[in-house]
Amino acid sequence: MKTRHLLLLLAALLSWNSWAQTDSLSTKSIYVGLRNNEYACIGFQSGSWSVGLENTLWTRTPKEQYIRATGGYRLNTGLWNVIFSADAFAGVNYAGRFYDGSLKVGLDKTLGRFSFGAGAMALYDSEMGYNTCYTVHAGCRIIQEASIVVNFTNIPEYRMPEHRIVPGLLFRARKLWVRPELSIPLNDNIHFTRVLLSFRYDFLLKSPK
Amino acid sequence: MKRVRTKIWGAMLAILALVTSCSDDGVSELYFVGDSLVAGWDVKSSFPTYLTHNDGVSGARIEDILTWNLNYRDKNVVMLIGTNNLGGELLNEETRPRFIADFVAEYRHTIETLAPRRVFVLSILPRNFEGDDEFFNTCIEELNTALAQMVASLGYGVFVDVYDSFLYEGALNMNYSLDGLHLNNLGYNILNVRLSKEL
Repeated sequence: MKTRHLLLLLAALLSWNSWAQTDSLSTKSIYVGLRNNEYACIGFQSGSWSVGLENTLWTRTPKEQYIRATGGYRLNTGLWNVIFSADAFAGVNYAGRFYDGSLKVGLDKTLGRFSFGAGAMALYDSEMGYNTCYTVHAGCRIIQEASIVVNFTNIPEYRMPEHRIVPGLLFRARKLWVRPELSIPLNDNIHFTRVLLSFRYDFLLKSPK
Repeated sequence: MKRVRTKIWGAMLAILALVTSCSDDGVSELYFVGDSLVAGWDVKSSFPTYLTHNDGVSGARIEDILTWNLNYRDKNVVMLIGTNNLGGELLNEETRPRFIADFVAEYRHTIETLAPRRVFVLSILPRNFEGDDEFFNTCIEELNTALAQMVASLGYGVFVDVYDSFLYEGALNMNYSLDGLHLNNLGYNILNVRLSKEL
């Protein structure tokens, strides 16, 4: 149990958040949102750094809830304006049945109305063991407030890695973004296509300079 | 500001410490096996905090399971199967007792051979399929009663009786079904809720 606490403490201290890909706010803010229909989140962002907490929304029995500390860091590398991002999380099931954690690094580039990027994630689950996950994503801005996005990934939407293609739309309006997506399995189980919704709203703490 | 940050971190770590201090010997991995009702069940999103495996096969009958070389020894298994076994023998009053006895014996033999740690047997659902006999669902009720007794006698089994949850005017409630046999999302939601309570 001590080891588990230590791991969680380390991961929480190192944690960054996975919202960086679609967030461009540079001021301090407190945000609330929803990820993949299932996880309610709240967090704090200051410049390039952010930390947050996520908790399952729809899990039917209280002991089966899951909580996760998340965080993120972004850095403009200065090299062709490529953005480097680092994200991490540490999570645990309320009943203590399992814990998981990950560290993800990625590179993103915007060229006019097009954006694309890729990332790799080291994922550890106390029951599944270690997994290496990937994401390759692209986007195209149609109008100022809306983009078409697509993501090839096996990063878990819930707990287990699954190879999926995830096309969707990204709507942005000031402090709010909403991302409806269709998550389609890259195998024969097409009937396990999921409709996913994520959104985030920022309450600004400081006006932009 | 520094003090606020320290407090936020402190609160976050306290929550994590609190939740990890609870311990539970509950199930971790869940194996789902059965017919098309299982094959069409998105168990990963339905049970997001479990490691799930879907071994459902469309058209499967109870006797097919042991031919699939499944390794369920000491695993937690959810079974939903039987509707493809049903036919004239169940409807015929003379052959029904024999059919029910044979079906339940086969079900028991399957479970005992698989030797799971725990088995959650879902009751056979009512039907509302084109061409189904009116008497079909009454027979399924009788079959479920026998199935429940068998599961109770196992010692490590849980019978999850969802039959009544799907019943409307003597047949499968079409609000929960695609075609009178297979379930839609609302139907699967009922299975998720009922099964979650037993896990």
